[in-house]
Order: sequence, then structure tokens, then C-alpha cells
Amino acid sequence: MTRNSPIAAMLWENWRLTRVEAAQRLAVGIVAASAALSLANPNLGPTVAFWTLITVHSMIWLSIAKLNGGRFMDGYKPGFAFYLLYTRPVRTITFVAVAMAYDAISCTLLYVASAAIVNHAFGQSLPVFSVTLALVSYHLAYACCQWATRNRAVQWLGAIAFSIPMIILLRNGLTASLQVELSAVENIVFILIGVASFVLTVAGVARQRRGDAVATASQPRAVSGAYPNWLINAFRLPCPSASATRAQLWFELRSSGLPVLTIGLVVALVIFLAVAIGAPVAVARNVAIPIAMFAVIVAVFGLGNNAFGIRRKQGRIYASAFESTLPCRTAQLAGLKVLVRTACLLFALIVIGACLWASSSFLNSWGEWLADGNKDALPDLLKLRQKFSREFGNLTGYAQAALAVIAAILVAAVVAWQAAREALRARFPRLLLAWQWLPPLWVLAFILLSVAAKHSTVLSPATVHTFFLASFWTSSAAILLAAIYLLWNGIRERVLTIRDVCAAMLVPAALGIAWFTGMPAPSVTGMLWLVLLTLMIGFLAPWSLSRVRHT
Amino acid sequence: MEQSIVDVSNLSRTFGDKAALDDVSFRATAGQVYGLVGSNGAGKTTLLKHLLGLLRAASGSVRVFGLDPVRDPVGVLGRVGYLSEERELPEWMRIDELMRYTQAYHQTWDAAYARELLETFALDPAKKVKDLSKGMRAQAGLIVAVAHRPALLILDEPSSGLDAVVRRDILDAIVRAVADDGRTVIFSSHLLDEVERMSDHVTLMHQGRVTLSGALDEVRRQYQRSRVHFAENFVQPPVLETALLIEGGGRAWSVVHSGAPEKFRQSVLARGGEVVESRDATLEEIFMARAGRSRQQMEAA
Repeated sequence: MTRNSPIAAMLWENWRLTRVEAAQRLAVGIVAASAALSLANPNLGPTVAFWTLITVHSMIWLSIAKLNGGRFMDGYKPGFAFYLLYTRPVRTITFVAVAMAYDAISCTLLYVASAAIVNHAFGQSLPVFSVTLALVSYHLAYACCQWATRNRAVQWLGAIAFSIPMIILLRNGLTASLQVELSAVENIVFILIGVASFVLTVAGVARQRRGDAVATASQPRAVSGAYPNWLINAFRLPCPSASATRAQLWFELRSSGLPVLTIGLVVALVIFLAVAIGAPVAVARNVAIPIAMFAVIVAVFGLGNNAFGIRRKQGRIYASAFESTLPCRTAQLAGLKVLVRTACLLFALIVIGACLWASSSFLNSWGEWLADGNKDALPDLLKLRQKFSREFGNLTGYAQAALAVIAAILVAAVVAWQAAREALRARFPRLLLAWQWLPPLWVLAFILLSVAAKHSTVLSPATVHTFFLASFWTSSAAILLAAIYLLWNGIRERVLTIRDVCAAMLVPAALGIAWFTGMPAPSVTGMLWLVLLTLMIGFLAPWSLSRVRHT
Repeated sequence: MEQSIVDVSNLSRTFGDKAALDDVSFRATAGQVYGLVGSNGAGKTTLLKHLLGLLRAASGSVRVFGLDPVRDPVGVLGRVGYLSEERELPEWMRIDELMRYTQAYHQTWDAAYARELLETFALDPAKKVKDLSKGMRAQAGLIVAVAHRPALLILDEPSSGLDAVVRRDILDAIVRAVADDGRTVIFSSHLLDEVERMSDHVTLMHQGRVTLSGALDEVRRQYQRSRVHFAENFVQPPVLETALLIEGGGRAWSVVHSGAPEKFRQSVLARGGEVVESRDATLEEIFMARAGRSRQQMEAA
């Protein structure tokens, strides 16, 4: 292979795309596994650390997936991510092989490196090389699902359909000493899955390359920064033309609000059905519980993401020129976008929560749930349900209302923060990347201090407590300064008006009222931190949209 | 003095190391059509984006209707119609929804005019934007930009994607109607014949600088194309005063020159030649001469 060979160029392209994410994944994997080993129960820690590393390194490269135009269902162009290679004088099998091999091998190497480092640091014996075959074939199969077809349903259902059996296969091969021992047949199965995935991907990409796949799937479209058209067009609301605010509400509802709500309702239905099916079908319980456990978190962070509709296209992150040139104030635009998304997301969360609660009544009919293959975890789940019921029932009406207000404000803050983050990523990508390293570094420092305090006579738990307190006050001061700067800058640049500032002040006011009416807040300082954070996010969201609207 | 609709003073903007705009000044008054011409990367779109407030002025100032478009987007964008080069429209909307949606933002929306344009372009209002061809998308974008009868119409490469008939008949008519109405049009284009046909004023940009600006007739009068004959053969182009572009060979040369024709004639005579024919230069000839001259200056520097 010469320096100028197409394979070298493609490998360089892959490396160039993924190098930052690789560093992030390596850091996140090591920090998370270290946290699990330091903080969790000693019997459970290694298992959690192992599965954490597997989760982090079994994902397809997101930097490559973003070439398709965005994240899942968000301006996404399904199919092979390196579609620009279709016009290059390279055989399909070559560029598919390079992309798949790079994805599978690089992620597996990262796992091996992370596991080796964690083993060395903590004296553990997490599996290192014994999982490589499983990881490689998992990556090949996942890439096959994502790249071989342009049909989203096949992509995601296929990914779910093969992921679950492969995870079960890996779990069954995990011994008590936390080593992966696969039988010859299992090894052959993994190899066959890998080979079949590669062949299918080559065939699927070849069809896409010559245009045959277009006829059987949705047309690849320009990045619109919105949900799929079929989902958006499921709701036929007439556009009001009497006022700009109503028209913008209609735009937000149709382009993202109602699709978010629909997805939330589908998730709720899936939870209900999965738990209900768990009664007669014992295997389904292993699927139902993880779905139920992570549904709320995934919904908040997945469906609450990118409320400003920032677009991505081949590495370019930008705001829509159509929306940017609407005669509408930036703060008003930002407020409407965040409010509509929050309202729809809240409604979806309420439905998901109601379904979780309703479906939990099926747990009584399960009989047992062998979570780790031996111990019945059902009694713990039922106890948790009873505890939750008791705790919530014991709250006064005021406290329940206060909790609802806090939850709504927190969801709005998460939506606004994620929207602002996307806008800042478009405008200040490197700065944001640097800032994103702070939380994992803080966690790493915290873990290292905790471990050192456990094993050393010099450091005491009081040192860790002091570090925690210092971090708390430093972050509070930083948030306060950021809020003041954003307020001053927003008013100076006329992004914010006095009316906007008063509206933003309603948030701390609502939090204060909720606190005084009996919200079970941890402390005054905790409450103060929360108020400052929500206020800062309230000023940050319009400011960040202004920065991307007026570059 | 006529009131300025657009007033750009000493505007500069860099992207990384590259100067996209370098000390650009530009002024537009009501009822006129302004054509921006220049090669790729000349800074035309960057200048238009500053007028819309999509880019902040790093140095210098931008005023549209006397307002800063970044600080007062509602005041400016409410009176501006814009057709972007990318023809970016919400893919999921139907054309009739797009019309209603845009109407909500503009009190001055002329529904009858929008309908008339839809019929002229033969666009189906029930069709979704994502199903439109590039040309149809440009037509939809154009309707949305002009139907609220904006005081300032900004068109970035309006001809891109439009067929010759639409370009010559409909686009010209729309632009002329806007200007005749006392409103202002600023458009950028690579097509010099189009700029020559549609504009009252022309601004030539090259590498982020305005190299030429003025009323089209005035600009054309300032530049002439002359055929000259010399008694002797020239291997290299002869050095002639006020000449910007010299083409040809031997004894017959064709020269684009600026300034006083008499000065040029004297210069030709001094080298033993004579001016056979002279006429006003076309915009394309002026563009080639000015762009070539800028390149030479850059190379010399």
C-alpha cells in the first residue's frame, strides 16, 4: 500500500473523523469503569465496570454516523455514511471493507486498551482479549444494519433484533471469575455473523451506489434538521396566518413538538406491552426492565435534544437560513422553540410515567425474574414500587404540586441547555469541546481522591469532602458570573429585553415558591445552585441562538 | 441627497486567515436595481449576509433602513425579501403552507400576487417542498421573497436553477416591477449579461474588495474597447496608457481601456499605431479587464 493509495486515504479520513471521539470514549470508558470499581459494591463493581466498557465501545462511531446528516431521526439521511465515495474510482467492496474494518477494529482496540488500563490500575481481571471476537462481530452486524439499507425501520428493528441475542450470548459466556468463555459453536456463530454482515453490507451499499435502493426506500433528502416527513405529515394542522407567534408555534409543533409527542407515546406503549408480555414469556423480562429503566432518561436527553433545529451536513453545523431570516426576535424564537419542545416532552414523559406505573402492576404476575441468572430480583422491584407509592402518597398536595413544578422546570432547563449546546457547537466547536472535558475530569479527580483516601494515611475522607465543597462553590461562582455576563451581553446586544429578563426571573420565583410550599429540597445551598443554574441557562439559550443566527 | 436604503461603510470580515470582505463600502437608494458581480469567493454572498444580519460586522458598519440588522432583526427583516443561494426552505411544508406561514410574518402580504405568481410558475400548492426540483424550489423561494412586496429584495444568485425562459421573462419582470414600484433590489450573479440586462447599478467585487461601483451606463462609458493597428509587429503586448486588457498579436490588438479616449489615442499614436474602431465596453469585458488587473496586482505584490 503506497502512501497515496485510496485505502490509505480512506483510513486517514476515518481517523480524522473519529480521533476526538476516540479520545473521549477512552476517557469516558476508563472514568466510568473506575467509578464503578471505586464506588459500587465490591461484588458488583467489576461486573458493572465490564458492562460499562462494553457499552461504551460497542457503539458505532458517532462521528461517522453524523455524516448521514445528524442524529437518529433528526435530519438523518439513512444509508451508507460514506456516500461521497460513490463517485470515486474505487470498488464498492473496498470502501465498505475499509469502513467496516476501521469501525470494528478501532472500537475493539479501544476496549482492549481501556480494560487493560483499568485492570492494571485496580488489580482487576476484566476480560481483555476474550471479548474481541464478540465485539468485532457485533460492530460488523451493527454497521450492516445501519449501512446496508436506507429503510429506517429495517435499520433500527434489525439492530434491536440482533443486539439482544448477541448480548445474551455474551452474558451466557461470562463466567463467575468474570472471563468470557465461548464454546467452539459460539465462536463459529460470531464469525458467521461477521462474514454475513460484511457480505450483506457490500450488496446493500452496491445497490445504493447504483441507485437501485432508492426505489424501495425513502428518497434521500437534503438535511432539514427536522423529524422524518412521514411523522411530521401525520399531523395535518392548518397553518394560522393571523400572527407570527401563532405561525411559529404551528411550525414548532409540526416540525418537532408533535413528532416528539408521538415517539413518547410509542415508547410508553412499548413499555406497557413489554412488561405485559413478560408475564407469559420469561425471556421478555430481560428486555422489558432495561427499556423501562432507561426510557425516561433516554426520552429527556434524546427527545429533548436540539430544540433550535441546528443542522449538520458533512461536518458543517449551521442554522437554517430560512428560519434565521424570519422577522422575529431571537429571544422570542428561542423561547418558543424551547417552550413547545418542553411542553410536548413533558406530556410524553407523563404518559411514559403513567404507563410505567400501570405496567408495574403486571410484575405481580411474573412469578420471578432472574436478572443475573441466579437471584430472583422481582421482590426488590416490588419493594421499590411499594416504596415509591408510599413516599409519593405521604407527600402533601402542595409538595406534590411543588415537585411537578420542579420537574417541569428541570425538563425545560435540560431542553434549553441541550439546544444551547448545539448552537454553541456550531459557533464555538473547540471551546465547547474543551468545556465538555471538565465534568469527566472532575469525576476522575473525585474518583482518584476517593481511592487515595481509602488506601492512604495522608488523605482522609475529610479531604474528599473539602474537594467536593470547593468544587461546589467554584461551580456556583462560575455559574453566577456566567449568568451576569450573559445578562449584560444579552441586553447590550438587544438580544434580551427587560420583558425577557422578567420572564426568565419567573423560573427562580417558581422554584422559590415550590421550595417554600414544601418541596423536599436537599438544602438552601442546593436550592441556590439550582436557581442559579436555571437562570444561567435561561440567559444562555437566546444568547447562543443569537450567536449562531448572527455569526 | 437621496435617502439610503442600504449603507455599508468600511466593512471588513475575515474567516480564519482569509479576508472575505476588505474595507467594503456600498450604498443603495430606493427604486434602483443593484447587481453584484464577481468571481467565486469574491465576497458577494458575505456582503448580502451582512445586510440580512446573518453575519456580524467585524469592523465597519452596516445599516439597512437606518437600522443595524443584527441588533434589530425584526425592523430590518420585516421589510426585506430574501432568496438564498441554497434555496433553503422547510422540506416538510407544502407550498400553500409555506405561503401561509410566511404571510403570518408580513402584514403586507399580497395574496393575489402570490396566487398569480404560483399560476405563472405553474406550481401545485399541494406539493411538498421536498418533492420540488431545484428550479421549482427557486420559484417557490422567489414567490415567498416577493409576495409581501418588500421594500428591499435581496436575491443571491437568483438565476441558479431557473430555465432561460423563466430567467429572461419572469425574473426580469419581477425585478423591474419591484424597482418601478420605488423599491430596491440587490442581487448577486455570475451571469454578466443578466446583470447588464437587469441592473441600474453595478458593483464589481474581487477578493473581498469592491473594485468598481457605479451606475451601469456611467461605468460602461468609463471603459472602451478599441481595435488598434500598429505599423510594426509586437511579440509582447505593447504598453499603452490607460489600457487594462490587451489581446491579440502582431500588428492587430484589441484593448479595453479606461479614462479619456484622447489620452489612449495619443499613446497608440506614440507607438506608431492607430485606433481603428472604438466602442463602449461590455460588462463582461470590463469584468475580465478589472479581474485580470487585480490578479496582476496581486502577483506583482
